[in-house]
Amino acid sequence: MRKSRRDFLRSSGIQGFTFNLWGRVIARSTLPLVTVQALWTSRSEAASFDIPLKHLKAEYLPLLIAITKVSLGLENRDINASDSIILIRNCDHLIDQAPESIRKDLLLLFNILQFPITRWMMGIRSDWHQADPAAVNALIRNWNFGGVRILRYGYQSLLSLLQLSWYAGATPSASTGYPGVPEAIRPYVETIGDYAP
Amino acid sequence: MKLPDPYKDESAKTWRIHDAARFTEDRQFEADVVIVGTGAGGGTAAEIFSRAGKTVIMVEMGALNTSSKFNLDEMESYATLYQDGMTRLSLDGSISILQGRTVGGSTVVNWTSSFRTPEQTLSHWQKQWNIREHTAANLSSWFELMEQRLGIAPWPSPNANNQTLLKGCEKLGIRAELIPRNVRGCWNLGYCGLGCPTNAKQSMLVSTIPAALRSGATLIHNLQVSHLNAAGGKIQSLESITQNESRRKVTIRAKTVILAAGAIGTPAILLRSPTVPDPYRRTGKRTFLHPTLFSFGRMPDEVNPYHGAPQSAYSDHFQWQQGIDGPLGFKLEAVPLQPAFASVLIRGFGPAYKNRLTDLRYTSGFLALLRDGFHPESQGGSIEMLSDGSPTVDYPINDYILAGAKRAMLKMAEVFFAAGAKSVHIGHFQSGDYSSWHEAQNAINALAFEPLLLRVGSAHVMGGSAMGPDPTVAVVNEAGRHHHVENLYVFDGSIFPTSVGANPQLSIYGLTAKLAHQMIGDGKIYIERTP
Repeated sequence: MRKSRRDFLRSSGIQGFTFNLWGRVIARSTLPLVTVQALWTSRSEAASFDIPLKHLKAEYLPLLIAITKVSLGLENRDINASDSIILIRNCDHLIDQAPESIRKDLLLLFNILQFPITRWMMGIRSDWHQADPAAVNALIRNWNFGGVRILRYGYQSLLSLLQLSWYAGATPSASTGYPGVPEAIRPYVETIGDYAP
Repeated sequence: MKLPDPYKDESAKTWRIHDAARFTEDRQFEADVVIVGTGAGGGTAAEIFSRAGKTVIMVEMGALNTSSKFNLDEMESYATLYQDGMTRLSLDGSISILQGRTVGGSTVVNWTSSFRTPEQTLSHWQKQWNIREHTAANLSSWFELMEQRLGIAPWPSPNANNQTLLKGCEKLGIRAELIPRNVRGCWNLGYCGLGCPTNAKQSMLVSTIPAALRSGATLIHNLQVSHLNAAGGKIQSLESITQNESRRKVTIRAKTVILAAGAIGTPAILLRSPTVPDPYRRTGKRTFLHPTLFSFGRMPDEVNPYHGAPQSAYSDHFQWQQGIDGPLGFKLEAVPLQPAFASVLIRGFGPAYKNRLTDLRYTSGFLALLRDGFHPESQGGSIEMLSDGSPTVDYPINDYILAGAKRAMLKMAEVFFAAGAKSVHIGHFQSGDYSSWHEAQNAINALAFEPLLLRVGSAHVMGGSAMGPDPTVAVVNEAGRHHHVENLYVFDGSIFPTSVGANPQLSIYGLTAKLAHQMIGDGKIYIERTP
């Protein structure tokens, strides 16, 4: 029997109204979504930078940073432009490698979090770059510990993406005390390029 | 300064290697043997058949990434060398599944642990699954052959992370031993999971695949097999699609087809092949994962869990303690903790999570592999096809698994404290940082053990094309031949009727060597003796 991940999620009897109702509304109402988002974005302080993103949009950066800060305990840390760019670039890279089904779920989740009405319903009453950390904290705890399996799944998928993307960066990894690769291999690794074909 | 890369040698210029992503038109190939997948089973089979004089085509869905690219960058390595960029999950998202997607398969990114199939497991297969040919005695010489081929020997100098496991077990009077690893001239760096830049790890990428190429085999990478066409009880052709935007069709005809695409990939190809008979609906059933739990100890001295051979100590004390088919047994090993990898294994929230990561250099990591598939309540999962044609594992985590998980978490915490840990936290979202064994015991017993609260991983997918004499319960016979198609074989971990109870690569090498040589049947050995 063929199943889609979304079929499973939708049929799992879960009270995930946010996913099920608003996810469908947003996913199927392309024109209103684009219009509303464009209006909203024009009033926000959307980030601007020149790195190619295949799936994410630059305006997702404030939401990525807000959730990263609260989830990873970085509320007292300034996340500079360089770390921000690495964060969103790594997220985009991982989403690009994900199977289509997971990619669609994640992008739907980003849309739900970004869309002003659903964001407001979830308790984030301002734009993401001005989001109250206490409200973000409450949202995340509700998703992760509220007992609704689909919300826990959604949050943890997002969390794994953010954790991997953040701690793959040089500055965050150094914050763990990680000294980098062993001395013996460093002269050789410096001559190795990347995975570009 | 540059390290040697066998694929950049002068001699490699004569090797027949095709990057299907560069194909601009549909192509057709023919061979005596086509092997789908280049991991432990496919690589081993390729060396044997090509050295036996057969024309061999190896097909790999991943790209050819060699040591010249292994720059030890976590993000690039995970995104490039692993299936789905290391985002592969079970259907309900509760299990993270790590598998390689590159020429050489998971052998390029595994942590080199090499165990023979436990005798208890082989005995169980004999009794429960009527597998008569593959006894410990019959397999012994094949394991020995592959141990010699791949330099497998116990690693003599465990790093601090593995020493923590040895020390804790010793204090508790629990037997623990050194892990045999498939390395030659290992630099003891600790980055086996990111591709070995020195080629010390004897993965298929640097051992059997070059041997096959030297013998005239053809390697086509970036090519995904879509399905097989069967007629008249034989596979007539194999259809595949290039991994590029043009998605060209490649058709391969061969006298013999060997599937070695792993325990997700192989059943998926069969499930996408409606002309391959499956009258008893056994394909993709009884998939096992060694569901894996994680625990972390904050040690008084630096551990630097990212450096040094990732796994070199283990304990099987809890594997068979309560009988082979009793409560779920488990194997204890260490887990390497490079920062990004550690960040997803370690659970937690907010400042507590940050503190755990900040303490990384003092952190020791253990894992417990749960030995699934031996008990009536451990039927494993199944391979399901998503609407886009890609496979996923539907693996329910039931109470039997969760009870085993709790026992494993308790034992790992006890070993940590015996080794001198100042505190312990476990891979569970609601775990605290426990400062004594007594506190940990009470707290772990009180935690809700539920999917998604627990961090459950798997790097060992097995089953789904089980072997056995009875076609009503097995997909292939004991020779690895499909029960309903005479020229179709499966040589990978998908033929195991249960999990192995140990890191499975040597089980796959040994069994494949035995099956491939039996297929050729001339009594000669075609594995290189002195690489």
